[in-house]
Amino acid sequence: MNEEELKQIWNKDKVAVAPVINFEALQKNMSGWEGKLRRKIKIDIITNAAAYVLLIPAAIYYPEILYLAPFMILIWVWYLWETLRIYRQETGSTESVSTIEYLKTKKRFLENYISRTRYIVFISTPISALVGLYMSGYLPKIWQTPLLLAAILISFELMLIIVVEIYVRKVYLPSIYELKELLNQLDY
Amino acid sequence: MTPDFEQTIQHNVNILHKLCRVYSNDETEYQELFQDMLIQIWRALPNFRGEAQISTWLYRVCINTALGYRTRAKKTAGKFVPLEENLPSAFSFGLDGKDEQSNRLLKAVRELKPVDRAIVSLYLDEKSYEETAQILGITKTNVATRLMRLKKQLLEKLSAYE
Repeated sequence: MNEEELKQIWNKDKVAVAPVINFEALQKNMSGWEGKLRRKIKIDIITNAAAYVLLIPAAIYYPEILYLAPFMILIWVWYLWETLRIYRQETGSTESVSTIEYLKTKKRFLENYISRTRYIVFISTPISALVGLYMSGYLPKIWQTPLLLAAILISFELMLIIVVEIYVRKVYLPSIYELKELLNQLDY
Repeated sequence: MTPDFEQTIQHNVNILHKLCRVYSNDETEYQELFQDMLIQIWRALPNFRGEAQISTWLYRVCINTALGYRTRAKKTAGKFVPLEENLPSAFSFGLDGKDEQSNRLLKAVRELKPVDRAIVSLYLDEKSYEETAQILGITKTNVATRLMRLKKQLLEKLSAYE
């Protein structure tokens, strides 16, 4: 068999009819994987905003926690900035760029999403834990024994790292490995 | 001017059909991938600037969708509204009733690595090295070198089936 014959065989497989496009079904299915990620990012923003709003009444009763306000505002601004950046990247139409560019963008998007998840959890959760300890009245007592405070914070942080890493490795890393493999196939 | 979506699909439906056959493992995947391609074309078509031929642009969108589908197939399996009622029976994963040679060729292409499947599909669809390079974002030399190896591989596979 030669190359021309190959092409002839390939061209035998043709459909002569066009599909009737059901736009309603198309719209329903828009909520695929990417749609789900976009919704997830929106929910992330809303829940984080709600958590900060909930701190307002707490600050009325415990004004001392306002000392933490500048740090929390900084983290929130950074978080919002990163989230919106990822959101814009995700919603931008990347399907019509070259395959290598498309795969690189998808990989970058997932890596950014993982970094953001790691940073936000590893930085803001211990701060929230400190606020919680303070509000429960335990912080001044624990403060007297710095070793205990350090042990609590380190154990808490380690637990967070383990949980977040398991989550990230299970949910996102397989897709990143697949994308890397495809990029390798393109000799990138 | 943005091309009309329905007309674009009607004129180029075989691009979608063949790539779906090459990249799916069963009937459900074929239907999902076909639908996924329609969605991505619908989303991206307003951004088509006419810098390339519409068929070249469609190959890009469809190949990217097919490769992207691989990285998420397990997560969305069975979550699509089925299109069976909309797609004529000619649109299907298998080649039942078609000739044996077409079946063998499709089987051989499906056994290649995902990126190689795209290169071979473009070659069999008479796309030039330059167009293939533009679609995939690799060099012309890379396309030529790979095609030499892939054609040999494909012919070997086909003779092994006989």
